[in-house]
Amino acid sequence: MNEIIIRKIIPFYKIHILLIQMSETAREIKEALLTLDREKLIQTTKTSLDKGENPQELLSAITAALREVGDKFESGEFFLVELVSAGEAAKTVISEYLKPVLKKIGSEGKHLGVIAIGTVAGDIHDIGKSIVASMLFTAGFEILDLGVDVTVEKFIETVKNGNVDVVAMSALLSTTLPMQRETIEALKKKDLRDKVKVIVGGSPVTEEWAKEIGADGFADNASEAVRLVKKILDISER
Amino acid sequence: MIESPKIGIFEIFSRDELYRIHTATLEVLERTGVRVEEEKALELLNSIGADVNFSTKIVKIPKHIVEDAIKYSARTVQFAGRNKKFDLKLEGKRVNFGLGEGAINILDYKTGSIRPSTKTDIINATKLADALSNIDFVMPLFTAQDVPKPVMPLHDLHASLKNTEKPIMVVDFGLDATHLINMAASVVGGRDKLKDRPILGMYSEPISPLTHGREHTRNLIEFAKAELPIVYIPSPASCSTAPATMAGAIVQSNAETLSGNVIAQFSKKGARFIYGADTTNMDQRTGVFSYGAPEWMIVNLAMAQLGRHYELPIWSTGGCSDSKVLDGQATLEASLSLFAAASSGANLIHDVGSFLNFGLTGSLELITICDEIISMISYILKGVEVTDETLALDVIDKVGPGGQFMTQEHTLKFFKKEHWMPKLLDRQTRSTWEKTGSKDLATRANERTKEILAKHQPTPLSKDIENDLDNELRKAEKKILQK
Repeated sequence: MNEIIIRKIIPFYKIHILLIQMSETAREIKEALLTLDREKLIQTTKTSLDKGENPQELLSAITAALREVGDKFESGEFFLVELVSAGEAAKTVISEYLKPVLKKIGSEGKHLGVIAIGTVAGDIHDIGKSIVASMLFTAGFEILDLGVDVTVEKFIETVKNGNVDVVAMSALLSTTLPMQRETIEALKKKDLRDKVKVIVGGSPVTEEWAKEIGADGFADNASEAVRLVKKILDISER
Repeated sequence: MIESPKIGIFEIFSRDELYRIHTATLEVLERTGVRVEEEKALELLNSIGADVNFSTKIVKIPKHIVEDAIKYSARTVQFAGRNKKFDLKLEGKRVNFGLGEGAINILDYKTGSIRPSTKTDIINATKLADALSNIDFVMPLFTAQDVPKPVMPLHDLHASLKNTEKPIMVVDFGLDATHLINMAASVVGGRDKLKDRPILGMYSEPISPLTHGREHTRNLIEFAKAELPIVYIPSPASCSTAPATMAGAIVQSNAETLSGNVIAQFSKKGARFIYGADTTNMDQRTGVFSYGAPEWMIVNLAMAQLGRHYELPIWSTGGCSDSKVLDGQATLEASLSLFAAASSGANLIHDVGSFLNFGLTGSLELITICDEIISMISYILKGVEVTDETLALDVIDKVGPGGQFMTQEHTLKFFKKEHWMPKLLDRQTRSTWEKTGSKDLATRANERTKEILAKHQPTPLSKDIENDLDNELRKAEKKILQK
């Protein structure tokens, strides 16, 4: 009788220790992200992986912390540079430390969808595109950032080769805007248009222009872009 | 035009601070360098002794080259009107005001709603600016959203050339500037004549941080060689494309515009380069490039002081707002920015009365209101004339204690000259104001705008010149759209 109780208790006790450890790690990850302590985030992740903690759990902890950062931005407690910096730190940790381990154990981790994003050919304006990319990442999407001066061919190739859900194109010059249309036309020609959603943005971009060129949507700021992507991919807000 | 305002020149830096900003700028250009995307410019910079890495396109520019370029710059830039009476001389503390450019929407003065702008809107804004006496130069306030995108800048200029006799500044938007020059040349009788009567200036931008884009650099060289006024200034947003500290953002902006001047001056010595920066902050809640920010206003003061130190003509910004409608915020931000820019002593102050919604929406009524604001500012900056006659000792003695000045000859002689009279601002008593319809500023500005547009006819181009201009437009359109 006593033996049975003890046997039952021990595993429970072990699990409990593990739970305490895990929540301790999650707490540290959250703290590191909310205080924008990049070094601490990296250290915590490394130490936890060395201890043999589940990388999937670490990823969930980071995602949860990022969501909190996002909420704090929406409520006005956090500012844009803090949001973007937290996103960048998380991205580094995920791609450099977690992804390699996850790959080894055959688990890629969950995301809401894949976004291929870039500034169109002839245009080297970077910042707006990067803010949108960062906010989409923070919201839980996987980002393929193609950079600036991205040719039509590059967009096509990316859609062909990857599991892309959304193509997002930025243009800041009225003279480079037509490249958004050309990219959409090329997607049609290659029979790829139905496989992806296309969104457009950039200072001279209007709702009318987005409609005219047959994009699936337009957003005039980064938060709106996140809502737009969720809407067109049919993802509920939470 | 405010000719050398007597007072109100704000100088925000001490001599020591000015010196530190200058040497810091030189250090950025020598240590970090700039990226230059245009091959010809890389070769040019290499040939004059800059340290050029052709694979990374990073150019490190030694101090002496930057300072030589400043020495070569035109000290005075003539910016001509189609009519000589509108000619501007950009130098010293002469302050001039002009419209903003490139809005994609209009707050429609007929309907009160916001819609995409058309070529007709550019025509109306230009006509209005042509009529208003405090607007000294014109920019195509809107972009023609009703023409094919690649040729839009051609139509923006086409509408401007036909509807004003004042000097015109256009934005290149990355389009080959040769077409723009050809169009302006057709109005004055050829490229050579355009040099003597530069009725066209171009506004182009390096891309912050520290990058000279391909088309923009090409156009900078093209305009330098054509000896036309060229504004080549960066638009960084502090915290995103420039450092968070204002001193750092100013140093970077200075490095960007001065390295542009190196390319301009070594392409053509004496190039008519206009110096400055449209540096503001990135709003930390929305990410927008703020047009009403006090950060931009203080950068205007900083750049004007630096520009005067370099003896370069100065570009500046005022009369714009982040507000979506013509409200208190719009007039508040427009007034403050205009006052800051005017009291910096800058030579070309753009964005007047034009920009709402971070430069995306233009409003004709705001131009009309800004005309009034500028008129007030001009009055203040003129200062107070102190002479025997204005000290008024005789008339004070004549009236003596307890008298009145209403009917004195001295009063009748001076009241118009010494006092400012509102055209748009309301000073009626409450009961009269109510009897005349209780109209607020926006309503009065709307009525005045409509009245001007109904009455004012800009001096048209002659039939022959108009034909030449139309031909030039068609030629350029064909060339661009065929590509």
